[in-house]
Amino acid sequence: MSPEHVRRASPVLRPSDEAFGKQLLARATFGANRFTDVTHDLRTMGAQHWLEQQLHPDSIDDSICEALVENVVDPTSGHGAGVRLLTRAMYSRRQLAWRMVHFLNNHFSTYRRHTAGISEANEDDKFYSRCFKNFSNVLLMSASSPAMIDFLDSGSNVAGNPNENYARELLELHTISVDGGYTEMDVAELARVFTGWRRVNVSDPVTNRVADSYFEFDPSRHDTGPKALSFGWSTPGYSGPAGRQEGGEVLAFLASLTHTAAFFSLKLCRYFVSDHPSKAMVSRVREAFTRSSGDLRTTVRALFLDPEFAASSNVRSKTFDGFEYIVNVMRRFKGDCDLIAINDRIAKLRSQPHEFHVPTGYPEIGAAWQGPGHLLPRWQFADDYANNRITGTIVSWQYIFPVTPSTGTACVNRLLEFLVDEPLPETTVRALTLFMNNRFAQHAVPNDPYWSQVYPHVRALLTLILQLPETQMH
Amino acid sequence: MTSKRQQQITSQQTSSDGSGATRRTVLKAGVLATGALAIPESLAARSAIAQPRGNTKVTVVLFQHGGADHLNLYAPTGDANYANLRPTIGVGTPGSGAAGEGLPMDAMFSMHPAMLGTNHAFRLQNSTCAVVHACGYSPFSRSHFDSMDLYETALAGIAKGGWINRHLQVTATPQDVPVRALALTNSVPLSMKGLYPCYSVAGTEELVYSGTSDTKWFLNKLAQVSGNVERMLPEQQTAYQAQRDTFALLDRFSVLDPANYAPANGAVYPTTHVGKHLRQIAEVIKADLGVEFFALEQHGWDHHSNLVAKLGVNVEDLDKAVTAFFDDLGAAANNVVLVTMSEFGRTAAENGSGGTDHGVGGAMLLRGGYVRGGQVYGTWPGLAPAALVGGHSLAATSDFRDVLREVLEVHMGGTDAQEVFPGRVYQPIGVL
Repeated sequence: MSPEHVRRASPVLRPSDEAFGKQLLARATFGANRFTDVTHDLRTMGAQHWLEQQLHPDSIDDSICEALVENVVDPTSGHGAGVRLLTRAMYSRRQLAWRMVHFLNNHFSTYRRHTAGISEANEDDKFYSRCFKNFSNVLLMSASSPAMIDFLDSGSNVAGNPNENYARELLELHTISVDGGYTEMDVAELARVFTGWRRVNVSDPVTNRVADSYFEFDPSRHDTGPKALSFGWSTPGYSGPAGRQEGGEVLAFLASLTHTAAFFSLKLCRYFVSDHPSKAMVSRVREAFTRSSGDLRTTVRALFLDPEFAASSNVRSKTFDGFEYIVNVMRRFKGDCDLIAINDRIAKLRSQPHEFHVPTGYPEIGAAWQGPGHLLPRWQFADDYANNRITGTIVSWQYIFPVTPSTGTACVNRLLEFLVDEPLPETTVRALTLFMNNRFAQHAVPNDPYWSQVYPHVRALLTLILQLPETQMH
Repeated sequence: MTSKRQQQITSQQTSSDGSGATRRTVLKAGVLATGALAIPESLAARSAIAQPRGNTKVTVVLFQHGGADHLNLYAPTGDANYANLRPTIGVGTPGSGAAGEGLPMDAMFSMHPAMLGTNHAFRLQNSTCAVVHACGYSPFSRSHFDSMDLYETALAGIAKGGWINRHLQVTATPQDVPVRALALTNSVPLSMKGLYPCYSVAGTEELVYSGTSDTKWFLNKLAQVSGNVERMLPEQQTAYQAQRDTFALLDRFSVLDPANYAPANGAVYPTTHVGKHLRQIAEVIKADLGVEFFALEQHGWDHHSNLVAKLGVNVEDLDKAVTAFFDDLGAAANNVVLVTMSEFGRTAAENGSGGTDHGVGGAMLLRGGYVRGGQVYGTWPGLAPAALVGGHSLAATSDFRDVLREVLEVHMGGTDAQEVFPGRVYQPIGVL
C-alpha cells in the first residue's frame, strides 16, 4: 500500500460488519472458507482495509505465486495462458486483481486458437497491470493487443479493403453496446480508423511456436481520408505515423461516452454482485466511473462499498462458471493438485479462459451455467476428484479430518464446514446425514473406526456435496 | 411433385398418435379449447413416462455459427456479376475447367466442390434435398448476436423465447414424453428457450455418469425428509431445478451407449463435433424416445479472411456429417427433416483479406422427410449493384419463417403459426 494511501482515511460508507466481510470473500476472491489464508488476512486487517489493499495489488507480496507461475508452464504453449491464469486464481494473494483480470479477459474476449498462446499470456499480464487504472488505458491496450488483432482480423483491415470485424465488436461489446445508437455507417467509418493496425510475430526456431508478438502500425496500409462517427467524433485523417493517433483518439472518445460508462458498470455489477443488479446500484457505479473519468480503482471501490453489495438478496445469488467452480473447490481444500490436469478438467466444463470462440465472451448470467449440460461434467468432476481420478490431484483428507470422524453426522458437518458458507436447508443436511448413517450401518462401521473404514464413505459424501445447488453458487 | 406431396400428407395422417387424430387436431380440440396449455413444470415432475408412438416426426436444426457464406455454398455461378464480385474466392462454373469448379445444381447455381454427398442427394431422382436461397428477414441486423437472436426467436422478441419452444407449447398434450427437445450444445439455445422445458448436453456421452446410484439414493431421500426449507432466491430455485433435471435426464437416457453405437448402412461420420453430434442424434432417434427436436451447432463460419481454405474445411465436414447421418438413418429418414440456419449471409464481394464480411440474404439447406428436393427455392434477386442491399449484400426474398412454418405444418403435423411466427404473413415456399 502506498504511504499516502495509508494516511488517508478510507471512505467509510458502511460499517465493516460480518455480512460485508463474508460477501467480500465470496465475490472478491476465487474462494475462501474460514480456514483459508485470505480469510485470516481479512479478519486481521478489517474488511475495509483488506479491500483497499486488494485495490493496490502491487503492494501485496505475491512472490511465491509468481515464482510458481514462472515455472509451471511454457507461456508460448497453447494452454500456457490458461494455466498461468489458473495458477494465479488458485494461489495469488492479489485475489481481487485476478478476479478483475478474469472479468476483463472475458469482456475483451479473444479465442486463443485464433491467436498465439504468448499473445494471450501477455494480454493477461497487461490486464493485470491496468486493472485498477483508467478504462481508456485498458481499451487502448486491447485494441493494440496481438490477441485481439488476430481474433478480430485487424491485421487484414487495410485501406481500400476494410475489415469491419473489430470495429463492430468494439462498439457492440467493448464500449457503447448494441443500444449505443450507432449505425452501419459508423462501423464502416470506425473500421477505416483502424486500418494499418497489425501485429508482428516472432517465432521460436526450435519449438516453431510464436515466441513473442507485438503491435505495429503500418502507415502504408492506413486509410488517410477523413472519417466521422454519427455520434460526434471526426478526424481529417492523417498520413504517415500520425495515422495511428486517430485510433487512440477515437478510443479515448468512446471511453468517455455515457453509454460506455453505463454498459461497463452493468457488466461489472453482473460479474461481482448480481445477475440482475438494481438500476440504482448500476447508476451509482456508473457515476463513480464517470466522476473519475473511468478510473477503475474508484469504480470498483464504489461497487464493493455500495450498500447493495452485501444485501441479502445478493448473497449466494451468483452461479459459478466452470472455472470458478473448480477453483473454488480446490482453494477450499488447499488443493494439492496438478495445475495442468486441473486446467484440462476446466476444459471439460467448457469454461477455460481464452477458449470461448465468440467475441461476446462467456455468459455472465448464472442461468446460462445451470441445466444438465453444465452440471453433468461438474458431477463427473466431483466424483473423479473425490476418488482421486484426476492426475496428480489428491484430496488432502488428513487436512480436512485430522481426527477420524466416528459418525455419519460428524462427516457431514465437517465437509460442510469446508465447502458451504451459508447454512443449507435443514432437509438437505438431514438427507446427507441419512445417506452417511445408512452407509455406516450397511458397512458395519464400528464406533471407533479406522480411517480406512470411513474413507470410502466420505468420498461418496464429498461427491454428493459437490453436486449440491449451493456448491454451484457464491 | 404432386404425387409426393399427397404421399406425405397421407403419411402424416397415419403417423399420428394412433388414435387417428393428428397432433394438430389434438391441439385444437384438447389443449387450446380448454384454455390451458399442458406445459409440464419440469422433466423431473413428469415421472410417469409417456411412451413414444414409434413414428415420431423429427426436426434437426443445424445452426451454422458465424454467418455462413451461402454464395460459396450454393454459388450463383449463372449470375453474370458473381465472378466479378469474387475474382479470387468464387466457385467456378461446373465444367469450366477453372480451379474451384462447383458441382452442378441447375442453370443458376452450383454447389461448393466439397459438397459431394449433398450434391449427390440433390441430384437423385426422388431427391429429398433442397435449398432455399436468398433467404432471411427484414429489416436485417448484421450483428452476430442480434441476428442470431432474431433467427432463434423468429423475430418474436427475446421475451417470447424461441420458435421451437413456442411450437412445443402450442402442441403440448398431457401425454407428452418427458423430453421433446434436446440440444447437443453447451447451453439450451435460444430457439428452445421458453416456458416448455427443453434440455441441452454437450454430447450424449455426458449422460453416462459414474455416481448415479448414490445421487439417486440421496435425491429420493431428499424428497422424503421434512424440515424447514428457507425461502430461496430465484437464482437458487433455478439451481435446484437444474439439479433435479440433470438427474432426470440421466435416468431417461440411460438406454443410450454412445461409445459403442454402431452406425448402419456403412455410414461413416467424421470425427468432428458435427459428425459426433449427428451420430449421437441418430442413436437417440433410433432409440425411439420420442424426442422431436434436436439442435446442434457447427462453429467457425465467420470467414472475414482466407475464405477459400477455411470454408472448404467446414463445408467438407458438414457434407460428410450430413451424408453419414442420412445413410445411417436409412428408411427412418422419412421421419426426419434436417434444416440448416445461419445468422446472415455475407457480402457479395470479397474483401481485401480474401474473405467476406457480414451480409444479409443467406440460404437454408433442407434434407430428409418428404422435402421436395432437387430444386433451389425462392426468387433470385440477382447480384447487380442496384439489387444488392446497401450496395453490398444479397437481398432476402424468402423469409426463413415461412420455411420453418412449412417444416412445422407439413412435416411435424401442424402448429399454431400465429403463436410461433407472430405477425408473419405467410408467403408459400413449397419446399415441403
